[in-house]
Amino acid sequence: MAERDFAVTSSLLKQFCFECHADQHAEAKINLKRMTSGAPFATGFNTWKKVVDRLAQRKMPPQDARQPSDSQRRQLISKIREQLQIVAKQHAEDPGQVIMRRLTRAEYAYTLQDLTGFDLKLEHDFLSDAVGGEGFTNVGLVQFVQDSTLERYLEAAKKVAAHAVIGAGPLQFFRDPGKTGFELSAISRIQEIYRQHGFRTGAGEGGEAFGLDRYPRAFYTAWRFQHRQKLGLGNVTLAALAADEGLESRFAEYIWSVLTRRTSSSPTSEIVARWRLLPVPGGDHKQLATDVRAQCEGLYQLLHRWHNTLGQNADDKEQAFLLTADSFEVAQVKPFVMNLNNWPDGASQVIVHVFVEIVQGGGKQNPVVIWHKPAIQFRRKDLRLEVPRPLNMVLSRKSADRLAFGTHPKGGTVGRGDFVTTGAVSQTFDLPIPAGANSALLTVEAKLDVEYGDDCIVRCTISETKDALQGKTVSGLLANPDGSTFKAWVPGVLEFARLLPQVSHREPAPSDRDPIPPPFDNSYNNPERNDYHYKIKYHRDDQFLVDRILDDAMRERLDQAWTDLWASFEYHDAFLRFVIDKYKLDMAGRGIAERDLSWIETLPAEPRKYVRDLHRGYDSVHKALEAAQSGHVEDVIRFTSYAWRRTLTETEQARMRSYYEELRKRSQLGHPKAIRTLLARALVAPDFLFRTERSRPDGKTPDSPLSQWELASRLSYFLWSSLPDAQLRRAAQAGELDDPKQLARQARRMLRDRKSRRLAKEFFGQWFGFYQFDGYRGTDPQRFPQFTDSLKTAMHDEAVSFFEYIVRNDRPAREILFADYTFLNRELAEHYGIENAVSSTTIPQRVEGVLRFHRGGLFGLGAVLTVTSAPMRTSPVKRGDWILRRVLGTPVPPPPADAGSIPADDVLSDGLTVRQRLEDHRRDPSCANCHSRIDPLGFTLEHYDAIGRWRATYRDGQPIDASGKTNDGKVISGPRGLRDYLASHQELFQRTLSTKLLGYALGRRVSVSEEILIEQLMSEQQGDGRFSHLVERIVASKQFRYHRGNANWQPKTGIGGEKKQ
Amino acid sequence: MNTTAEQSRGTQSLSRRSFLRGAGFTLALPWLESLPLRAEESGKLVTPPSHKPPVRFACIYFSNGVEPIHWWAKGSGASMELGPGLEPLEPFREDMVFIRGLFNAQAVANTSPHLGRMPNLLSGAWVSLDQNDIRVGKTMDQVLAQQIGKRTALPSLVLGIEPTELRLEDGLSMIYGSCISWASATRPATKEIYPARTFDLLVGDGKGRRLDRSILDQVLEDARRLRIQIARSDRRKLDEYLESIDDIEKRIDRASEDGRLEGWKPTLTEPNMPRPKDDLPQDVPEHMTLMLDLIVLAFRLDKTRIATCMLNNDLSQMNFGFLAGVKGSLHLDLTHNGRDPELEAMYLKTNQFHVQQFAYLIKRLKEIDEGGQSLLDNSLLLLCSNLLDGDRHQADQMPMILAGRGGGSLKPGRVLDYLERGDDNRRACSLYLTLMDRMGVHLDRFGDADRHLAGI
Repeated sequence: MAERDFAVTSSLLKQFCFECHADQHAEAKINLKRMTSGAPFATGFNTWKKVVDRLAQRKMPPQDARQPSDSQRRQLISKIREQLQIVAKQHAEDPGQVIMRRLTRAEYAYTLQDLTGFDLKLEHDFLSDAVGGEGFTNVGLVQFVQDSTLERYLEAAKKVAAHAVIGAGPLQFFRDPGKTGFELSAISRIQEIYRQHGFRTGAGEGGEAFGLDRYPRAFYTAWRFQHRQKLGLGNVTLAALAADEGLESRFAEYIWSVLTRRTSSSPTSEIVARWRLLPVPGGDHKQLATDVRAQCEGLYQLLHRWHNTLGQNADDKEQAFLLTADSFEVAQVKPFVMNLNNWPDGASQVIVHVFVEIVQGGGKQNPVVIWHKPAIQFRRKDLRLEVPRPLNMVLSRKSADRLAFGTHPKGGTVGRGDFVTTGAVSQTFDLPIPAGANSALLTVEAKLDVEYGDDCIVRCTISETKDALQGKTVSGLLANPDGSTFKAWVPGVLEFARLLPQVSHREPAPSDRDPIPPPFDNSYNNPERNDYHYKIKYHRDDQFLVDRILDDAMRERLDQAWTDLWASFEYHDAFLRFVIDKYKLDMAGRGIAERDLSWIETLPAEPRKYVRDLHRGYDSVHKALEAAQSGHVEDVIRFTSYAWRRTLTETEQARMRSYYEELRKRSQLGHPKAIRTLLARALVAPDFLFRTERSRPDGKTPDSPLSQWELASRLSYFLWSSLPDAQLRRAAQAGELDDPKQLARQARRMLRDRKSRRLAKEFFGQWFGFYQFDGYRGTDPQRFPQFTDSLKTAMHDEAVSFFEYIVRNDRPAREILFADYTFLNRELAEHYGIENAVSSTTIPQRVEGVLRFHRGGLFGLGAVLTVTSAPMRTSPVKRGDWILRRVLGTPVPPPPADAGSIPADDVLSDGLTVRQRLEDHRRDPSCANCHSRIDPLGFTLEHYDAIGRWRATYRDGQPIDASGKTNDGKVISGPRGLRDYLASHQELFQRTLSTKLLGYALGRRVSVSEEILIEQLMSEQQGDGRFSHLVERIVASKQFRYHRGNANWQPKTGIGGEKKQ
Repeated sequence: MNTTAEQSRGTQSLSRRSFLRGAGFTLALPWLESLPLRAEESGKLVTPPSHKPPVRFACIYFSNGVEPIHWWAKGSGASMELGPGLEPLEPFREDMVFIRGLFNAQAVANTSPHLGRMPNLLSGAWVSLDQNDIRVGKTMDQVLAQQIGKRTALPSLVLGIEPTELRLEDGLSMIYGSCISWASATRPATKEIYPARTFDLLVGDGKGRRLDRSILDQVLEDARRLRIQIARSDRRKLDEYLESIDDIEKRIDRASEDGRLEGWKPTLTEPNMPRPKDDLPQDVPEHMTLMLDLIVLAFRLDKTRIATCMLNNDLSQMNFGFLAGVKGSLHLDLTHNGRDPELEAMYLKTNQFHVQQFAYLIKRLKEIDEGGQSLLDNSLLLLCSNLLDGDRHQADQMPMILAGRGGGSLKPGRVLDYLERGDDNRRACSLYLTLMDRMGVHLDRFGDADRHLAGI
């Protein structure tokens, strides 16, 4: 075809170019004679591109040489371009050679993190990476495996496997490894279920109330269910209404059953009665709903007060108080201690309220309470306590008179300092505050006097406010435990405790203020109790939660977690030893496993009960563990299919199972060890470590279309540096990825995902050189003591967050250079001299309008400005070279070996500035050619110092000249000048971005075969072209979707004029 | 080559049934008795006992050359005079050989001033400038490792201080600038920079690794099945994996045999230093000392007999602020110092610091007695850089110093000048041929050389 045409070209080239570009003395190593005589045009593709550029720019032939006519020049240009186009088209069918890639250090870490759900911190310099291709670590060519590499993989795989939790439930991972991890995992699973589904008032040491809003929501749900017809809800189920409230249906049903019971005793009856008084619907439903909600809240407050009254029976004992359904005791005499410290500075007196309420009296209204030996002890600011003084000696006259110290209204005898109240009362007294005191301790012993008063049950409260429900109070019940009123009331209280408890479960690990189970001595601080906490550690007490709240699936998970917890140490043996010690049984040094039932039957009745339970517990734990075993093997197979990023073949599954059998039988490994070995084996397999792509030629060419799974992996490693997630796996399984629309949809979804921050780190970081900048050590710490680790981290975060923002928010690609925003925390903002813009002291936040502070876009990034500097000074050469190479994609050739150098410091002994040195250097013609391209660009950033700060002068006060004259005669100055210059050369940046992104996606150099694709990618960036458009184009390309089948593949037709046919 | 009486005696314990490769040439070398021999009856590899310590080889590399005016030596033995750059070697003048004028022709010819002249230091090979083809040449230490490294738990130790830089230098992967040891033309030997991991390599001896072996057997089978399914071009990568498994399995198997029932015993059976901390040391001198201590430990435990250590990578920006009066980084500030006198003085200090490390290794080895001889006597140590004048990227001669006696095969206390003897007589690869020969590996040619270095 074009051969004859090209012969014309050859003769023109011969005429005008061969003088310099032929034979041995081919200038610039361009030998046009050889290139036109037999060499395939494609092999000289890039050189031909250069040739045609030089011709078009009229840079060649040089001015002092013979020039072609304009038409000759045009002819040459068009012929070469035509050839270039032909070659590009022919090769566009070639997916190129992507050498099998192993996971990079970062990919390996991300992959394991996504597989296990934990950042196991294995990646720390785990493997040595290198870069190749277009400058990235994900290039197969530079990824090597040696025995020591594999040893590390093996070691890491075993470490990961040690994090596996192998218990009664399905296989999972936990952040801590081994035995400890197993135990902690069980506790954390238990606590998670408890916290999610349970509730508790603030009982126990440091215990905080949570989940109690379940009660008002359940009352409200029950009300809606009761009035479902009137509310227009039709035949709605209680479960559906519970779901509306985010409530477990079992709990809603349970509360419904309590509220609709036929009979209930006090205090339950009071709650039920109040609930039944909730308004019946009619009129404005919306307003009603709000009202009823509020009333349900009030109902809960009532419930809560009962809990407090009955549960918090005193506050001077060491036990954590809780109303339980086991027992309810009350005393006739009770000491109160009240800390008074809420008085304002300079107050002269504090008012104290004393309440007596009749809780239960069977109609009797006249209880008498003797307040015995009330005393007050002031505490001074220096914390010194004064001597306790009887209250009657301290009070104001008026108050003392009101309390009538020393007299018993019913004629009984009391001490001189005592006072007596009768009936339901609310008493107040004011306590004058002596100068210098800032708090006081009020102590008193209250006694129900049934000799002179009614046998009631009363609640006594001392409060700092008028309302006994508000503010700081101490409160307690007084009753005559032998009296009939109390005896009649106890069953109702216990029922209340059972029906509407204040906790749904106890902590799995009881704190030392929580009670321990029988038969152990519960008294505080005795050795038995302390031993329990150390040795047996755990106590399951969650019957209400299990029976009344959890659904079946959650019950099963909870049981599995408890099984694991018991199996995580010698729980049963420790417990058994306790029982044996306690009852002084003959232990004979054997554990629970060796005890058989016949031995248990010989025990005395009381210990027998406990030992039998233990035996049963032990058995069920081991049965549950055993029952889970076969599931774990299948779990490993599923895990392996995630890890290998595809489904496993039948054979592969069978091999896994038989390896497990072999480990159990031949190697005599226990189940957990065998499972761990199986996991480790999956994680050193080639299909995990390498991104394998199997060869299945499509018949038309030697190329293989990638399978759905392989495509999913290319996509996920491109955008996330990790394996496909569940959605992508599902799409691959369903065969959706053949559809370009689905592929693009997945890509867009993935770009929005949090995980694409990794693309910012890996791709942009490696491209622009801020990769792992948080560990950068290239700045001289003596010269720049400000360059701290936290500043480094902030700069790294700034750069990563900037690109993450562009990727995840799909910003126009040109914002990489021209954005008017950046990401700062306070430290970095201060470093840049931006005041008051940022509140965050840790995570960087986006700040708009930063161009006026010389920030925004690539060239304002501290990390970039620092890595392009020398340790002690800026380097205009480094920065200029960096712009040419990494931004414009037009690097200059390396300097000659004896180029000489610029000294380290910016203030030199000979007084010359760096600029002057460079100007000297450029007088040498062999240097001028490149430096006239490098230096003007580099100097535009000279106002940024070596750690990225804006500066007006050099350290010695010399002014900064940030201008330079480019080869085409333009003067550019400062970062703004640089941006303007780049705006007029956007196509160069667009080509670089396209080339880098494609090279990163494919893990190889970009070559002739991508010529057309690169042009398409460039056109995607016109105007506001979005980042996602580039990604969509790339993933839709043949290069991305095919694997080249044969390294020796050649285009089907001959190229250009060089193949004589 | 001299055959001493003592060495000859050593060979008599060899079984007569044994087949000894290259016998005539190797008899001179004392450790060769421990060459693995195939016992006719069992077909198993057995190692006949030797009473003489083996010869160890270590190469210490520093990047970016030296200041040439300070790099000289003259005279011999105790009266040898050393240039300022070599000052730390003063106490060891009688233990060293100063060699001037050796070069690698392919390095000189390469246009890339750094990466084209560095990864080929120990191979004399051409460094491929094709960005799609990482290629240099197998280095002499790895030739040794592959030929005789099987006798010890580790074929070789490949150590360094700095990690591989993650960037391209003029379009070339910095893997070039980070590796002086290459296991094959296309694959660098994995360099260890973590002292703790190096320690673990030496101390974990592969015993009790039956389970690991069973895992490896499984994945080996995976790899074999995979191999037939992937494109030919991918197989090269998978083959690296297969070889690696093979290497580990062999090592596990070797460790479970006790190869040293009688004969020469290493001077240590347990490490005599604590396990270093897990982290990478932040202090450079401390890091280097640790790595050199680990080489000594490896030799004493006889875990390997071949080691290389890169004190820095090519183009290293190692900050030398830890040296009094020195500021700035090695490559950009100090090597390329613009001939500023103050900076030249600092550069000299960095040169001396590197030499100091070598002196430390000599000192340590010299203090260890291996039955009448020191460990240094049984070693061949090489200190080298790939450029003489670092500022000018001068590769037409390289700074090289040998130390030790090579088990009697090297006479120290000399200054050898090859610069004016003609290119054919001053090839670094000739030196490597000689060194390998003295380690018991006999090649006719290596790199660009087909003859030994005369007079060494």
